[in-house]
Amino acid sequence: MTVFIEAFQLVVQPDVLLTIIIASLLGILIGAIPGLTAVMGVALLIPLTFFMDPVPAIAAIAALAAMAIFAGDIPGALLRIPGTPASAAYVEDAHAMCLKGHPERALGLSMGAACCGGVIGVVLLMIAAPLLARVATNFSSVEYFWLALLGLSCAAIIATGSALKGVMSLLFGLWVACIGIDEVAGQPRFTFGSIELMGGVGFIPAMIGMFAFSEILRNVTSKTNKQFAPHMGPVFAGLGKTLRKRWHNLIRGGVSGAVIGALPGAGADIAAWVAYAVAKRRSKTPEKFGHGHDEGLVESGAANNGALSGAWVPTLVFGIPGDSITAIVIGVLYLKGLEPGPIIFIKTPELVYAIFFSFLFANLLLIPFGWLVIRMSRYFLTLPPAYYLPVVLACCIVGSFAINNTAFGVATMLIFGLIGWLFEENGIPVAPAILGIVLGNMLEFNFVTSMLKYDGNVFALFSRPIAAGLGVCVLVIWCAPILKYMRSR
Amino acid sequence: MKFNDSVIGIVAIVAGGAVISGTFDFRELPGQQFGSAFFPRIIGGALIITGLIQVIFAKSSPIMTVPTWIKGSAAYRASAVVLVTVLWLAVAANLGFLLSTALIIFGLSIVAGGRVVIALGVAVTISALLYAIFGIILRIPLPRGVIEALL
Repeated sequence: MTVFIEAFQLVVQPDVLLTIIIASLLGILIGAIPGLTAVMGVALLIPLTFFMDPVPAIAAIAALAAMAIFAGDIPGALLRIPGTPASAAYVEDAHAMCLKGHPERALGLSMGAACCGGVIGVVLLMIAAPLLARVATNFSSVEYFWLALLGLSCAAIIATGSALKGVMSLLFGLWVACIGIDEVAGQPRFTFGSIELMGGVGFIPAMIGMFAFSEILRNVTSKTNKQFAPHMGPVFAGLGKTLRKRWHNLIRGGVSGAVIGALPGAGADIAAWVAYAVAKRRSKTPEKFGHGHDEGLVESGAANNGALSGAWVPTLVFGIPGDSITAIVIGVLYLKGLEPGPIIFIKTPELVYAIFFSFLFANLLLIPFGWLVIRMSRYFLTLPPAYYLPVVLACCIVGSFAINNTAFGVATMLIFGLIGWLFEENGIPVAPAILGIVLGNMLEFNFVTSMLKYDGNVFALFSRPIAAGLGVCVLVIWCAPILKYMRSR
Repeated sequence: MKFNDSVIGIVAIVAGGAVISGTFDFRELPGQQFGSAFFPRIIGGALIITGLIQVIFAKSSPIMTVPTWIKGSAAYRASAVVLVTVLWLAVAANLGFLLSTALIIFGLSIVAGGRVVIALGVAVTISALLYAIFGIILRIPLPRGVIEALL
């Protein structure tokens, strides 16, 4: 109980609350502008979190992500441009509601579902994370090796369209992680004589490049239609009644979202699509789906934000990111000297619970801030890209520069931005590469440690029960595409 | 710029080969079975295998598909994004953060179809705001130039 009180006190500090509010407003702005995504917002926020204490830094990321994910529903509903891939699951229903003249109903339901789903996700996070952490304290390098490989395999094979291209992206990320001085032997690897590369590729400039710079390039090369400013009615009218009527969709969506989000590599995108499919299958009126019906919107909207919270479970407990946003969070935790893993629950439990509380606050703030952004959405949508895209570029530049105070960071951002853009143009997903960069060292370190421990015996990787279970899971994931191909023949 | 899957596969094979050949000069620790070269070699090998599979199962399509935007004004905008970033890298150390950042925001806004007065206002305001946040509040040693010297 003392831990809870300490954690609560950490969060209710004026500076932390102010940070949450500012990050929320920033998240709303980024999410509501068509083309700007939650991951991009989080990537741009990192240089600022660099100068904050751990709690406000993580709270800012949590708040920005939660707000931006919800605000991403606005261009989805009004313009049929999903703000995030997860919003794409219910964009047809939300847009159809708008076309019927009820944009406030579509956005109000998204807001209510996001808030409920987020709160359900946080509650599950608060229950599951400490329990899992207790189990994880017995983990050795073998289990961590398999966990890292499981997370990477899920991200590359399950979470992407083309498994092969996902694996290529992952291998690129793992190679990037090798750049710099090898921790074990002190051997410089792939540094090409550059002193700057001795310390490895800057994770944050690479991230800003792949998520933000490439997004700018995609924006300037894509066609934009003239935006319209819709008339908004009262947001809360009939909202409570509909949400009460759809309570089972809310709970099912929140819980399934949190559970799917907790699987390493499977983020809000998969959760939202699965929830939409489940809602349709369980519905008495599946024919209404896609034509402005509220069931799928509520369930997948709740799953969307539930998954956002769920993704923090593997991140905090095992140090394995659940999605792209938590991959960034891991980088920030390391920057703050906090190594994610079960030990963080023992050493600094108040910090972990403070993160949970800040997540809860951020989700509760969705209601007042959500109402505000819905009322103001007409202004966000009519912002001309000619003015805000150069501003985003300037933020990318200053953010990449600020990490090491060198122009090398900006050059790294530019190179990775171009690579990220080329990847996406060719259907190669970017997220596995980022996870590879984040987890590459962990994977190599735990593998080498295990091999030294077991004298090079590879079968020892299956010698412990949990490790064997994880290993089998990884093998099943790897074999699945081969079996799928053979069956199709 | 969309390439055929077999081209992507060939790039992966070449990259895998390059990664493996790059490990040949890594010194091994005596008695150490898994040295610095072990992990990169696995990555290189896996790249070659995935590249080969990609080439074998590639669907027939043009080697390179040029996107439609390349013929329109979007090509200028995309080039401008890259060029202004390179420009910033080239001139920031001499011109300073404020001037070089304002210059790139203004230039990119104009190329993207913004109006001169608004673009100028956005450029000046945002570069001053970023300087205030990062340069003054967070004390980042941003590149100094003529304007910073006067402050």
